Amino acid sequence: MIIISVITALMQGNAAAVTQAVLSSGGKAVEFTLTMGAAIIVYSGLMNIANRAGLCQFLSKFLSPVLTKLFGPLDNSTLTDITMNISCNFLGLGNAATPYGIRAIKSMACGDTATNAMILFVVINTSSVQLIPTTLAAVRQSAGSTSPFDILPCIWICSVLSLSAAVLSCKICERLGEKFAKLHNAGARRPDSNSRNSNTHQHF
Amino acid sequence: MPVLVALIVTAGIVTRINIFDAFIEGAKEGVHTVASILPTLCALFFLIGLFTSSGASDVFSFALSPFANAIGVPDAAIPLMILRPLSGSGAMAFFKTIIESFGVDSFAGRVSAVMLGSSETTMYTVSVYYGAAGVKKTRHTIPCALIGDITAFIAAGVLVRLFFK
Repeated sequence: MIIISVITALMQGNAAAVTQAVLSSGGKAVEFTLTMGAAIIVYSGLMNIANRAGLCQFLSKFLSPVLTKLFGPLDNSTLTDITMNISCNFLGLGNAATPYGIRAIKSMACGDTATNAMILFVVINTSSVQLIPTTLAAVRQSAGSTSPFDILPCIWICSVLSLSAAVLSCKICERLGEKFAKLHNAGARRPDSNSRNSNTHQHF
Repeated sequence: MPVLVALIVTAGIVTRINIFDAFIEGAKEGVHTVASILPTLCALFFLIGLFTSSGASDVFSFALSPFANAIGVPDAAIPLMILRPLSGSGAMAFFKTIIESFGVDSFAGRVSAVMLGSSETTMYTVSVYYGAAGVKKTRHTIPCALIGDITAFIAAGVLVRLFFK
């Protein structure tokens, strides 16, 4: 990226602007950290109250039935970890969520191939449904937005859409994987198809 | 926001935890987070400063603008779509440059904010969890996660247009 930028700068004659940008970038980073840092600290203090008050546990009661359906058969403690992880993420408590997530995925692991349940869990985690994106709000606030929270409804709808798309595509891949594996197995039974059964991509 | 604060504090009172201690504990964590991202931010601001001031970002946006126009996303937000799954702080730093040049309550500013708020640092999350579980074959994880991110980006453009115009 640095090289591409420097080449483009030389080609377009922006070298002076680049020098300026390089010199001021450190100051900008410090300034940015200071302005949004204060808000981040306050929000994390507030959110820790929520954490201690057990809001995650409260929320997980509502999420548990949905997740049970989505993940299918899993043992109870794993499901609790998954539910707590998602609840904490929903409230924006990333620090609280990760340990639950790690424990959940470790208990689901078998071998070096991801199972369907593991994939679903990771994909849900990557599509982030968050009630209050605090860092984002802090940045908007420090940039002088008239109402830093006015985009929240947009973010909620957008998050739900992206989560649905991700989960749906996961389910479709699972189905495709099953069909593919059936073909594989059918091929493996025939003696003349050595090339096919030599590597089985799918894992159950 | 005031409602949320009241709700959280009430929950704290009802469950009889020490609200002040809990706040301080969380705030300490916050200080730690802020301090730990400063070096990363320095590096990223440097990179992004180079990228935007050299004109590389304009070339890049120009090349991808037909695609962006097709899905209703402002040109300025294109590099953000590429950065977002790779680096959270990088995306945040780029977001900062967008709101500096377009204004925080502008169309581009709002679309990028919605993009950031409704997606996640996909690659980082995947590597943290699979790293912990010792998984090497990720199968359809990354395509599905990216489908989610792309959906979020497209929806961001559409929704901001609906809500704010």
